[in-house]
Amino acid sequence: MLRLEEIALRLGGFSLGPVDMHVQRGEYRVVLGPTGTGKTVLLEIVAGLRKPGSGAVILEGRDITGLAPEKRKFGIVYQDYALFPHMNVRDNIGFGLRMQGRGACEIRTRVQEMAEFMGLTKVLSSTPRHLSGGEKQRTALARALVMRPRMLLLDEPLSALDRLTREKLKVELKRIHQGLGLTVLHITHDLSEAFMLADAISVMGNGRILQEGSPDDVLARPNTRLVAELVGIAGFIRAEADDKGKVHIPGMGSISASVLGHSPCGTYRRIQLTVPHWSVGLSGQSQIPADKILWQGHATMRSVDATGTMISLELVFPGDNVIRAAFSPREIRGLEKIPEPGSVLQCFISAEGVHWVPVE
Amino acid sequence: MKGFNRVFSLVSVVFVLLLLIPVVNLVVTADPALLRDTVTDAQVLSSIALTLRAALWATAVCVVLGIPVAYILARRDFPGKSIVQGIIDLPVMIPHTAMGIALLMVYGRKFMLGSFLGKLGLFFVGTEAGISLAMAYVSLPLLVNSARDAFLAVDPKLESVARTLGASAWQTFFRITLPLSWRTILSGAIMMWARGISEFGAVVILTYHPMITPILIWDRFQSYGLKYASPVAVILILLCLVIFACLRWISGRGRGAF
Repeated sequence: MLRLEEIALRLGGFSLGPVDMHVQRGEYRVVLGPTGTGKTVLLEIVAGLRKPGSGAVILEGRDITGLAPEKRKFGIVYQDYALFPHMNVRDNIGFGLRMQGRGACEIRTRVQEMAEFMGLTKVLSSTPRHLSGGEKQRTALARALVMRPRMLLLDEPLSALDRLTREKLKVELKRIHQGLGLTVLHITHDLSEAFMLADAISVMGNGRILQEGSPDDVLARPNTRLVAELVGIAGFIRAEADDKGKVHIPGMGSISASVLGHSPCGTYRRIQLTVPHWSVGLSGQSQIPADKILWQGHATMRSVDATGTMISLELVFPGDNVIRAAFSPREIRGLEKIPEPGSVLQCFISAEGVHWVPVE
Repeated sequence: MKGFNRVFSLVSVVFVLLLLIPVVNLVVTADPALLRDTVTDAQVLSSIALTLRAALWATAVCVVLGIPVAYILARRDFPGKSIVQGIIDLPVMIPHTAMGIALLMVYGRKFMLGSFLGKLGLFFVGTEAGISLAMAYVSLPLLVNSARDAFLAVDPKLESVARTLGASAWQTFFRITLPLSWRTILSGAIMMWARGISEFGAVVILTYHPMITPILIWDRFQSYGLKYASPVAVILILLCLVIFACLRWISGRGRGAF
């Protein structure tokens, strides 16, 4: 439906692109990346609010690169809502319909229907400053959706909300997407948001798309260390692949390359194994079959962080490989005593979830 | 904190008194009989009307021409932007008599633009148009800078959202940007009008006759002395006070509603 072809733009010292992307009709596409990587600039190019330095925006086969934003029929929702402060919720939602010159009766009906769909009927006469964060965000969504946009563009739409409201609105976004069959382009730096909502993810870093695919694929097979870090993998182990199907890990022995999915052998020599936190377990509690165990042995605990719902341990494996692993309180209670920094723990690394990236 | 508040409050009171004393003194020491005569003096009344009218024209023209400039300064980055900003601020820095001479050398009948406009029947020396022109040149920074600050205070994302909702650039300006900035722009326009009314230096070079009130006050002071000049000043001050209090009230109404 939407195709970006070699979109590039220079803004002072920052350089975006070239970016290529293809969003299918009805797809929920999330662009995931850290702050300052050019996600918002890319979204504004799609919306027509910025002109790219080069490249083309193609919508349903038609080049719309030079088309004014008001003619694209894309709805946009910003992180800080951007509600018109001099209008109440009703007029905010109806603004676009008024700009289209719709009749008063049609505007009233469509605004009412959208308010009901979004649960805003009680606040229709309120001005934005009297709304809660969730109501503001729902109003911003309603204002975009009432226009029946070809595509919904979301710029970090949940970032300014508290955790509880964010969780509720995630579910709501999913409902809206499925209920209306909308095509959505959503940019965020939040992993859980990306993995819960996305049909497809584009991971962005340094102004470029680094990897695209389904959330499961990207998580299971990041193609660079940066992508692995962006999708939340914090454990990396240096290794070398030989030509005989073996991967040698200094201090931790050798493993068969076949357990890593596609083999690096013959293509790359120096690699890093990517180890998600859930691939590391404490021995004695494992239900994992022995052939799925990549390595087991002793690791020294360097630090512990028990401030979240999971207990995070920084573990030093042989060969000075440091991996941060997360355990539930139940798993930790299974140990004889709560480990202290310096404790030696019997651990294993499951092959499941472990992948590799070439050393850049 | 208490000591801090007391010191700042005391300094504020002294500052306001220092501003007020000359004005109040002028009003209370004016001869009531002369004041009565001055109120009905046709020359004074027509001079005040001319002053208010010329300043209003200057402001109106600058609102039309200055708002686009202010918007561009607020929203766009372009090479030489700081030079353009400096040119707009120039009248604040240079003596107004110098500005009057500069205007005379462009709009005077023997000079380039003045000669051309004269052929079209538009004269700026010794005319009401010349008074407005001088007032506009010296007071436009007040309006342009206020309008630029007003536009800067409007989140550009509001304009972006309006555009994606189908509003053209013009509709976005008139439906979103202007409703959110008009109070500050009006405040700047009031300041510009006020500055225009009080202008002397640039106008006296370009147009001594017909006399605007600041020139009339100067003329009476030179010809008849302080006693006959002060009632004219008192009337102008009181009139301006009432007008500006009303305008400030109008521009401040509803502020903070959003």
